[in-house]
Amino acid sequence: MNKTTKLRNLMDEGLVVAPFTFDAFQAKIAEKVGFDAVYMTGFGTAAARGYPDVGLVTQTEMVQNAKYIANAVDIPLICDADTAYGNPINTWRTVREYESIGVAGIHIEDQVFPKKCGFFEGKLVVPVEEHVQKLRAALDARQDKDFVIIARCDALAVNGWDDTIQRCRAYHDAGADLVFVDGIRTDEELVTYARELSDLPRFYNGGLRPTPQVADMGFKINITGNTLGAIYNAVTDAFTELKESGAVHRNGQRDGLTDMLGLPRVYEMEREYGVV
Amino acid sequence: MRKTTKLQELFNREEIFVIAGGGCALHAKIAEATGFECAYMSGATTAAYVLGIPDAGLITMTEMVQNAERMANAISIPLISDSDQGFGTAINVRRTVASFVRAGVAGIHVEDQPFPKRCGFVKGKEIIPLEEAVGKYKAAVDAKNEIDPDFVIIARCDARGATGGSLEELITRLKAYKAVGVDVLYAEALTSVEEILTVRAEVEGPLMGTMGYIEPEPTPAQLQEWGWAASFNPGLVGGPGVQGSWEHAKAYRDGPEALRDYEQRITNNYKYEMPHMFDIVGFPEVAEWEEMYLPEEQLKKYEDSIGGYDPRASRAPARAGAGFSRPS
Repeated sequence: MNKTTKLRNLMDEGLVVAPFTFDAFQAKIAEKVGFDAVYMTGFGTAAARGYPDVGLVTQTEMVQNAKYIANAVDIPLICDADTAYGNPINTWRTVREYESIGVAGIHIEDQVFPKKCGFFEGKLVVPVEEHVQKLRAALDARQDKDFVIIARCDALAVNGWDDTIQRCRAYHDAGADLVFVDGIRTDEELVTYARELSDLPRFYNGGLRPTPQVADMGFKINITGNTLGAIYNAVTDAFTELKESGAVHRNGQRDGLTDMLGLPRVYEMEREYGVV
Repeated sequence: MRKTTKLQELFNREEIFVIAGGGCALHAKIAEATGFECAYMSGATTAAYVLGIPDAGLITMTEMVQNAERMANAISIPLISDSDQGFGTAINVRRTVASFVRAGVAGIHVEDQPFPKRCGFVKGKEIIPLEEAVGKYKAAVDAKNEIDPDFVIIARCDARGATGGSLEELITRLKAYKAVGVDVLYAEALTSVEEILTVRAEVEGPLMGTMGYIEPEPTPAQLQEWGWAASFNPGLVGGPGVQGSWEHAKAYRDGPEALRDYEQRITNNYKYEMPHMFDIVGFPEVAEWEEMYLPEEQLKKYEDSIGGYDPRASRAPARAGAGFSRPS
């Protein structure tokens, strides 16, 4: 089954929880732990290249990264596609690029190019009509009708709820599969989001409530970057430990790592194909 | 000498030089092999040759830099690259400049248009506000000074042909861009010799520009007389080959007779001795290296194998549709 169809089936069953990943390694860990889907974060993809998430990473770099992740796992991959890297024409190409490498869905935001992370200061949004045009181009561009187009709205921090709600309804009317209000900072905002747009398929980025509660609020997809902080802390702790004590806890033991990466299958193939 | 230093020299010497444009490494090789001192990577030709897409701001910075790196590495003369409007704001410009410097490119031009180009939707070019453009050129100059001060930043100004633009606006902007330290000014879309002379009289420093709106198109000798630093021809190498590819493909589709006609017509009108494409890209060098580094035993492969091209004979005969076509 196509991963796009798989993602749609999962959404029909309930909340899809997709942890943030920014490389194939983390995606494999997410799959191993039992997640049904993964998410490729632009914040993390920029970080992995040594940049903050401020629109410096190109469409090509995002798609290359997504290709590695999509190929590494059997579960659907949802990707950050920022502003789709330009106008509706660029959006058309962005959708084709992501779709052709086996991504199951992308979100496209209504920020001015170049964008900023949804939780950063200094965001600017384009007029609602301009984003509707982009979404129309995105929907027309997809060749697999199950490819999921998520309309992200960044207007909350800029213009408040009234504009945000209006925008999300316009994006839904244009045909977007899900709406996504980004920059939800408080539980109150999360409740408002769920209440004011209760009739639309919704996408939530955050970890203000445990995922079962997010499911109860009727969201379709929940991505969470809290694990990104956990990764940052774990790496920092391990390096600090090595630096300070000269050794790493558990002796750097890594249960099942090479199995996860498929080494046993390589040995099998070596026998199968006569590779000495 | 580094290619960036060489390019600075070309722009600052008395004698004019020609910037020979193409869109792939082979074009750069041809520019060098035919004796040009500077090659150029055109965004339009790159979009067409490498990706098969129009030059409508669809190509990404990464794709441009990758192609520029291949072209720059293929030649020993400096390569100037198109870098559209720097792929975003002043912040993106810093990364764009650094990326092109590291790719071995000798200079880039950055234009004062908004991102992305709006071909197809909006008729006519647009320009960004002057202050914003100045900030971008300042960022470009700062970025190159940190890595290689000789890297050539060319400020392309589209104010002459843009909506609401004028010659006065162009001159005001060129002066403002020069004031923040760009190395070369590029006046886009001048419409007469008088405009060329006016721009030259008004602004300082090396000048270049496209001349497609002036009939007949000025020669390099004329441009030199008028004080221009370079004669810029973005389609010089990449443009004509399209017709050759198209004609050969069509003739083949039309059948053996049409193909023979085509080849005869080309052969009869053959004016320039041309090396085999494999010579241009350096196959003879491979044969030399094989003799230098491979065991003698392995060189016997040349004695009993079949091939229309022998890299050990440095000049293979040129023929119509030269390149990968069947051996003569």
